[in-house]
Amino acid sequence: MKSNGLPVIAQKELRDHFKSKKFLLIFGIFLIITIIGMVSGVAEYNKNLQQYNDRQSVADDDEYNMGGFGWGGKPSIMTIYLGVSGLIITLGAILGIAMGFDLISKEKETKSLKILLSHPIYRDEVINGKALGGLMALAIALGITFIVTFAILLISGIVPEGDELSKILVYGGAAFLMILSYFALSLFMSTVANDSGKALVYTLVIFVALMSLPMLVNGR
Amino acid sequence: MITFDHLSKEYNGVYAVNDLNLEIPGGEIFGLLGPNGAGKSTTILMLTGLIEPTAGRCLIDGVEVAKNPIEVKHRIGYMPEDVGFYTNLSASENLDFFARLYGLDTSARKSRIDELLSLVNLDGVEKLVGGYSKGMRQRLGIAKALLNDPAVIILDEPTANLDPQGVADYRRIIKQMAADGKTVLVSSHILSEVSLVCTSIGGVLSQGGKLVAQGTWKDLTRVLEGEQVKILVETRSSMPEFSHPDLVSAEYSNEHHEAVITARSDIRDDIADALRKADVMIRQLTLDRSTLEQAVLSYYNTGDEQQ
Repeated sequence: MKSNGLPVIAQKELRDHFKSKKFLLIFGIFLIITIIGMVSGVAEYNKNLQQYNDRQSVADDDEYNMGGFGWGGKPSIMTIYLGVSGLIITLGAILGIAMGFDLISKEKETKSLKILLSHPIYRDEVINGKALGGLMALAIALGITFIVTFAILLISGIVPEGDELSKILVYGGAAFLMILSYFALSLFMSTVANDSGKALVYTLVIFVALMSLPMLVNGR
Repeated sequence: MITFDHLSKEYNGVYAVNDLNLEIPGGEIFGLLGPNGAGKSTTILMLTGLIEPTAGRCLIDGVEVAKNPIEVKHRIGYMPEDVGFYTNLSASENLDFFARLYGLDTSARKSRIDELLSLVNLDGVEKLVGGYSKGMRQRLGIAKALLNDPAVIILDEPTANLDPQGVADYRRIIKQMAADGKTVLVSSHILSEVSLVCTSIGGVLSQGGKLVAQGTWKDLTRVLEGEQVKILVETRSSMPEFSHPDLVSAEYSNEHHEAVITARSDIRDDIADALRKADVMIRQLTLDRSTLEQAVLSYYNTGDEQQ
């Protein structure tokens, strides 16, 4: 006999995330800080572009111009995104952790897991459904964020070229995978830990260790 | 129909359920009794497919639970003792989510949910389940257990948090379910409730998960009491001391005007004859059938002393 637990649970989880104050609050902060970072990055980019153009016009007048060598090339749009990457990594990881750390443990605490499992579904469908719902919520959240950042670029008169657009998409994909990894990690901790508090502590310990790793490597 | 076939569950060498053999036909309300740790919840968890037995098997309508859990879960409705719901959803939203798991379409879900909420007197309650009292959650639990119109209904301590009206509603619903041919398994500590609702069959699990008695609740009382009856006698004048081959003991009080006679059979006719011959006028001569609660408590106490 077939079970339709996976899509039903995934739909519920997706709806729950977008009704959750916790998710909306962290996503709101994430979006606002990204917008502020983008606006500031666009201003910096425009300044650098102006300096580049000024240098170009001086170089054009100079018969002994160095062809841009030693003056720096044209600023890339990616510098705007790389400027907010630290914020995206930190806040994105927090968003992923906040979404996942109590998904299973809360069900244990509120005794709803037992009642859920007494229905015609398999155990793995509960975890996979929750993971799928979280993945969709994260994809929508990051999709909205990147549409907003792209709109900021266009409003500022910056139109990415083909290769720049593909770099932005790769950057967005990498950011999504990073946030998804933290979500998956916190979901795993929520499954193995006895309660949500422990799941959160275990995930934060790993988060801090991973965030410290580049500093430790660079320090050598 | 529920069948337990040599069902056992062992945790670290200790049996929670030990070689349980039982058959509960359709239309019965079966009361599963036993002290804490007797294995009632373990039995129910195996029956609902939430844990697997160490040995033996349980079947619902001939379908083995451990081998076909999804098929079995379509046939059962289960309400655990500490029933938990999604506190951020209303009663109808909770039921709608669970109904989707049975593959019901939108109109079937809506009509079934409206019917069940009305049945448990929660229709018109729009607040989130997080704001519900324990009794309201229990009512919702009963509605949830009936969501898929199951052939077998399994209820763990169903009246623990209900108010008198809730208990009355529960009794009405359960009796109707049995009348409709459904099998109802009730696990409860409230023995008087079991004796009222489970008119058909009762069962008692002892410490160590062995089934020690089974039958109608009147049979159960007799079995647990060791086939003895108590007879209350009251006379107008002092009564003579009574002797009979089936007499176990006799306690006389109030200068022999009253007596409690314990016997291996109903010897009221012989007592009446003896008193008539002694020219003693009888005020009362009744059989005192112990309640199920007294019988079970008496059995547990004997068991404790033996241990």
